[in-house]
Amino acid sequence: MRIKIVLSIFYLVTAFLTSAAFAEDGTAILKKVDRNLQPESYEMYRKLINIEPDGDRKEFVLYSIKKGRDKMVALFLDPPSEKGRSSLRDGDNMWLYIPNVGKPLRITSLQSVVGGVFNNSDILRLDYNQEYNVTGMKNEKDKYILELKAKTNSVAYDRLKMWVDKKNLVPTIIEAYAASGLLIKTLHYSKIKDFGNGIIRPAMLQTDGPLYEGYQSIMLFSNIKKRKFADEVFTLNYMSQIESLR
Amino acid sequence: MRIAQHVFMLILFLLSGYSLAVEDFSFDVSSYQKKNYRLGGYIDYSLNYQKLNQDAAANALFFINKTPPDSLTQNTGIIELNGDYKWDKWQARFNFHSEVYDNELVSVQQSNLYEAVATYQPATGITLEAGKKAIKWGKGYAWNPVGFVERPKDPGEPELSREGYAVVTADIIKSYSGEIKTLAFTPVLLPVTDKINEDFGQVEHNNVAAKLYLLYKDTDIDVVYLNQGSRSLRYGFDFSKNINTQFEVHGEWAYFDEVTRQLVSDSGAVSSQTGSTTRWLLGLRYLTDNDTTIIAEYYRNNSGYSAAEMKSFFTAVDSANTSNNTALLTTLSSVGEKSFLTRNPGEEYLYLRLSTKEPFDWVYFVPALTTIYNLGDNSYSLSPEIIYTGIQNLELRFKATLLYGDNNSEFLEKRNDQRYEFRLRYFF
Repeated sequence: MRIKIVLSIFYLVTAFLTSAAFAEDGTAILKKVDRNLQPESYEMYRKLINIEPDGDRKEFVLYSIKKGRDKMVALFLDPPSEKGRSSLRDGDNMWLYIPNVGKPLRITSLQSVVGGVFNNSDILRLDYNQEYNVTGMKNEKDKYILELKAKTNSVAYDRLKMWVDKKNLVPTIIEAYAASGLLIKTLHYSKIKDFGNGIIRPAMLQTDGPLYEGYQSIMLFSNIKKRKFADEVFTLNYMSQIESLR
Repeated sequence: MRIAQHVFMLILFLLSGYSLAVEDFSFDVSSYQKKNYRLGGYIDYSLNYQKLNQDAAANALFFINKTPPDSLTQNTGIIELNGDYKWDKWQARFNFHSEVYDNELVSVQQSNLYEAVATYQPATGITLEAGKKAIKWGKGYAWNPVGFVERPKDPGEPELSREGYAVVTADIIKSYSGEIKTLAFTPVLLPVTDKINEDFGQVEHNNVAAKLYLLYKDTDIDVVYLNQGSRSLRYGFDFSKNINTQFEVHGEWAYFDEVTRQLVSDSGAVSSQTGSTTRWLLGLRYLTDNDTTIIAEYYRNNSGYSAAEMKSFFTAVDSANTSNNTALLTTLSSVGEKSFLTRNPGEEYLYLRLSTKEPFDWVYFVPALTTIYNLGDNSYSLSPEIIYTGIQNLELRFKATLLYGDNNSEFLEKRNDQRYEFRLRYFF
């Protein structure tokens, strides 16, 4: 009986240590994935393409900047109906500035400024390790599979399952789940490209999901460059002036 | 025969597979490189049919000693042109608005420079501006009690651009890493003479307004102030906060040191009351799981008119109209224009707007339903609308506005009781 108890404790401690070690490894991998996907402070251009079930397309062009762990802005350059709009994220706070309205309005992360499958938190995405803890990891031949859990309930997706390419340490597939376990959307990263200055990452992100049957959204990345910005740029009062940073 | 069918199907399959495989997406960023100048805007055409309420007080005062027509059909054309030019730390920008409308009664053309501002940015976080600028304060969607230095917003079309005032202003922003993450100070100097900003209030005053903004513990907070000058002293605050990923709350509160309100008795006697007052609103924005956005706001104007005060005014108009008392109708028209017949003159309102993106797989369609409800006299407007954006740079909107209420209530005494509008807007 005593041996059984000792063995049980041994197994429990081993299991705990193993999962903790995985989480630690996983966290290190996730941090590398984040740095490979985007420098800590940078600027970039993106094109968003929403493809409707009937094949029609809507395209948006955005200029985006990011600083540190939790500050990001996206400015619409095209189409003309959206030109001059900007979205700001500071941690869990998000705002939308519409030139005609003339002042920033708070928006929610699950809302979609552009329609389609991408919501505001996809467009103003922070580092994954900023919003998620690694709860599990599988080490397979040419990929890692990371299980991520949201750190707070203000994060758009409760759980992520991330397939990471071992060679480039960038994600290839990410499944996003709600707290109920429902699959909300799947993100597919592709077209690894050298953007210069050591930034080698996917240039295309496609997404679809069971909640958006027949719809597909695509994000193309261009001109990703490391750049430093003052904190004051990431404030409500500066939202109407983002264009001046280009 | 069946083999031929299979071969045909196989060819179709391969062709469709091939077309998917070659589907490629390109992004030529060079066409979006920064230029020193920018020019944009929209052209807007609308056809508007109004069924007039011939018994309404607003029509009795507009058509004094005349019979109002049963309906009006109006064509409206609008051009809004905006642009800017940048050089070094300087920028000049403008917003020009021109509109033409024509109905059975009038044909009007008016143009206005809504904004024309010169901006100087000596450093990141410091902006100095001078010129005509539309300053917009407050967190409310339909109403802004703290909008002390702006022209009133139309709660039925809150996103329309508005004409600004000639001001000298600055914006000083500072970021921190503590509980207060952002602090921003915006002083405003708004002179009023008989040539500049003359419709703001009493002339020969240099009005000073200011806004202090804080992002404190993930809550936006503004403290606002306008000195005693062309208008009475007023101050207030607003706030806005995200509760979770789908839910936002906001509010505004404003104190007005001196507000004059005109009252009209049942017999048409006009009197004035002057005193301090407060106005406030509480609102929320909620996104449901099926992508419906709900905006709800409660607005309280403590210097607004009660249902009984509104009823007295409408009763006086009705009596003067029945007795063809032209002099009294003229007086009441002048009083009403600044008080009882303005947008939402009552004490308490509820605003509710529901809009859903592409429901039932209606691609590019956004239907919405908006109501503005006067809680004092239970009259209200109901506006269903549908927007279509399936054509590049074009927005089509059909909107109906139906007004309901009892006799002598705010919405039933407005000029029309039904309005239908088709609008076509081209962005460039």
